[in-house]
Amino acid sequence: MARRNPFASFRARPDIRAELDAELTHHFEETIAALVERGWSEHEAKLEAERRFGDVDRYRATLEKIGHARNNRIDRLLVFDMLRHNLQLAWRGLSHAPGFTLAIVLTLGLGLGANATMFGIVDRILLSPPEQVRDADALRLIYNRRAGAETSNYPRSLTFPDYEDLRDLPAFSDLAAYTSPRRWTLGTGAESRRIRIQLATASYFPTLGVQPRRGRFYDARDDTPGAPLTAVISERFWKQELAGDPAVVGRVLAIRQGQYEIIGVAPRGFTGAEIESIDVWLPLRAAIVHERSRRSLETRTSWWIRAVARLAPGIDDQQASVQMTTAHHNAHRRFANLATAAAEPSEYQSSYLEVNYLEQQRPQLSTAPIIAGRGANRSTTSAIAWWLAGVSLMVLLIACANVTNLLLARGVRRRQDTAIHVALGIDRFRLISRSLIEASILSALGAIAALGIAYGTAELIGTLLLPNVDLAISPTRLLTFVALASVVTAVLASILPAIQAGRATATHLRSHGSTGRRASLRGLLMVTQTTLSVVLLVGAGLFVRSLWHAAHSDVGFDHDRSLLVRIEYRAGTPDEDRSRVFTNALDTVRRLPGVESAALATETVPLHGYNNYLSRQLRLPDRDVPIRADEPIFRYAGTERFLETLGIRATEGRLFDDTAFHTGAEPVIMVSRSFADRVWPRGSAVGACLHIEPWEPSESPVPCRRIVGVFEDLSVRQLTGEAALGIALPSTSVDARALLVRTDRPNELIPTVHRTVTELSSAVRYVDVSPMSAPVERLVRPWQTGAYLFVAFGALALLVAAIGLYSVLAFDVAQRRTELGIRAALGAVPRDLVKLVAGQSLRYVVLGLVCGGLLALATGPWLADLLFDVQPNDPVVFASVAVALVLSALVATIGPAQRATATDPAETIRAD
Amino acid sequence: MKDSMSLIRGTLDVLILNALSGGSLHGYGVVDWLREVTDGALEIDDGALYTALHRLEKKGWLEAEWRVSPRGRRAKYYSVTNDGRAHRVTSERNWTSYVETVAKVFAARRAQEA
Repeated sequence: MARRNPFASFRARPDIRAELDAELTHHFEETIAALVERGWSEHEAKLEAERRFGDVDRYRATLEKIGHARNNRIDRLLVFDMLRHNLQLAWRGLSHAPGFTLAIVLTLGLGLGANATMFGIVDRILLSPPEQVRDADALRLIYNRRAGAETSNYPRSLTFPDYEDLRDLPAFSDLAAYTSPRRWTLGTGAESRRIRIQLATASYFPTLGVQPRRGRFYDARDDTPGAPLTAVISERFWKQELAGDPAVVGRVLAIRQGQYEIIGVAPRGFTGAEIESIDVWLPLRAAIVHERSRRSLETRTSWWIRAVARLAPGIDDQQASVQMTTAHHNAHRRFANLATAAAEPSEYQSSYLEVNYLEQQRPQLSTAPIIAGRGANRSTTSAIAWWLAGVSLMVLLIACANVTNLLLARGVRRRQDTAIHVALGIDRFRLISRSLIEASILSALGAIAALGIAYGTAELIGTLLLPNVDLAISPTRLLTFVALASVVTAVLASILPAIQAGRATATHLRSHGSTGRRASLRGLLMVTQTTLSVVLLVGAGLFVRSLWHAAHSDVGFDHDRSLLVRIEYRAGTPDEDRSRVFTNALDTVRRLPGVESAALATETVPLHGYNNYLSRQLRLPDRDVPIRADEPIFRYAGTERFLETLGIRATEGRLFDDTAFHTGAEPVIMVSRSFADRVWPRGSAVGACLHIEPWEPSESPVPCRRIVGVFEDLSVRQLTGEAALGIALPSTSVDARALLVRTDRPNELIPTVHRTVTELSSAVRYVDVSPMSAPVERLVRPWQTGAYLFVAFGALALLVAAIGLYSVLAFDVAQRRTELGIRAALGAVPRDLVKLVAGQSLRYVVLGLVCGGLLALATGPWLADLLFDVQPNDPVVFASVAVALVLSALVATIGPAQRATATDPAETIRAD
Repeated sequence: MKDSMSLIRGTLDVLILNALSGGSLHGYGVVDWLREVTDGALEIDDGALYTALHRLEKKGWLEAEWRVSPRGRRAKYYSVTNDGRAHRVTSERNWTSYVETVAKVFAARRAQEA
């Protein structure tokens, strides 16, 4: 035969040529015979028959072609038939064992569902460009990596002149500057609220290749300082906040100090160059100059800009990085020279020289693809996404191991049927394909369950883990992923059972019980899934402990017992009115029921932005302060009892008494624990004195301030790793930054305080009242995310593993009914039977526990950086995981064990 | 004279289904029966008839079986399947109504001439 056909053995496939020969020969014989009967000569009859038939060769060729087509059709029908038959068989088998089917579908549903959920998120964050962006392959985010712990947290920051330095580089065909999302106030008074603003240059939209949904985007003329203020709104903002107003273009938004006219609506889903959602885009130059001053665009000491670029054709990242870094260094060198040469360096120029940006921070500019998954940029968001991917893959592996185990267990049970089939001569191919088909049906059912789970949870989990990102999950990509994943799962999970089915021999007809090798294979699978579960659970434990530690870490003040009130004024409010508002607010709020104390803060508020000195401004009577020039010294100042209001404690000496705040009182000061330890490593700081030089040189001598006490270090910007050098001063100034309120129940008091302060004066535009713990919650988020993630997947893994253990045990008991019956008849007590059934499996669980523990110990150091005050080998965590695992193993054992002890010897033996 | 009808494929199918409606026949049987009932008016190659037979078999309107003929030779016998029967009924109905329509046109013209 011309080609091999894998199904050839299933039927008698006609041999086309031989049949044709036979048929045509018969035709000619009959024709000639008939003609001869009518008196034709043999010779003439033959010629006539050929004439009547026509061109024999041509007809033969046609007939052969038809024959082949017919054979192919038969092949297809046969395959379809076999498939249908096997599907029916498999379906019958599955529906006869609903418990088994349910266990597998549930396991696969959870495993695939977790992965589908993960995929939805990872796809959005790592694998797709931000929505609506064209030709994302050539788009690059610009990074400015600088030396130093603090600046490395902001690897994307540039100053506005830095951005302008890059604009004319040949490496880029387009370049745009934008800011991270800001929460700015929209509207006034009681109606006011915060929306998410992004400032971006006019080149932003063309660089990203996006077209407006309505109206137009602002252009270079709109993005000029002093130009009429314009705004572009997001489609969601238009639909949700402006009710989809068809006449939206031309409406005016009162944002902060400006009246911005809406000139366009961005297309649906557009979030700019990054994935955090944005409500309104404002022209960067025009808006910042209106809100602050022209200096924002000129200063080289304020890193508030991010940049996105489109690479010019033929340029690679390496070339772009070299061009950018060179331009950046040249510009800064020029600027440093200018600043040095200036006769009267301005404040920012001198602080720039002090920091010595080029030499100390050694900035390196580079580009990274806008699609996060392709770049080396490790943002928190993409780190989360990678973890999510890894962890959910582990759950899928556990699920696979589990399903394999169940299929194997079933294969053992079915061995008698299989042996009969083999004895009857059903070929191996059929047996294997049947087991593959069974796995496919199961995984298809699992996939359906998974899609349900994914749709139900993806957005929920996304909101939980990445609250600022709009997770629009693409249904087609999700569907494709689930389909592919379920095929892979089906193949993975059915390899071993298929081999098992293929090995079946007729000799199994007579054997009972499980054979050693297969039992050990199942043992291995059980150990594997336990091991993986242990690793996930240890991760969960470590993150939960970290979260607890982080949330309860000592920030040096009572963040959970205080409120922070910040006030935004209407445009044009004079300074004296502003300070009056704060003084009034202090008086009013102080008298509110539930308020223990209140004070105004005039300088740094811990965890809420800061002011700092540099060491050159501080002087001891006999020497300079021995602290490096670039180390910030945070200054805290406030009105009477501000330290008490925040719950700041004196570790030595005392806090300020009320007289310290009176004008003409003796000048006093407090220093932080680290400051005291650095400056007076051997003696006590209390009683010493400290000069503070004013910014502007002054004629009168600066008085020495007596140190009355040392306060505990305060967390200023983050929860850990800060030296937190600080000094505190009593302030008589009324130039307040914020109102501090101490209360037992901060959250309950928020509405009252908000209303009270809002109603104080018409100069008040927006009042922000937030618990002082809010930034702690934000700072704790990485550990919270880790904890959510690992707890969710760890619990899932445990559940899946427990389902697996339960079903395998249940199968074992069912399979060994006869054996158990005989043992019971021979006098085994229930305890013996339980031991017999559960003992082996529990041994595997313990083995998995040990393996998983070792694996977790080995991979722990990798996780160490992500933990907070917890060692990766934390004994409490390991012990809890062990207990949790053994407990769930025991729970999984109860059912099957009961069934084992309920075995009635007489009945089971009779039944066999 | 070769002015006999040039038969479209569909017509040939109906003729064959008709030939076989009385029972199964081998290929020559079909050829012979058609020649007999049409008095040889159908000038079709026997090869074309076989082509049609095979195509109908592929379509599933005919099924074939190897049997021993009355002359003691192995021969391929065709018979009409249920599908084939259904097709024959519809196409015969179509043919008849077609022929009747054409006949009406002719009759109308003759009436005008008369």
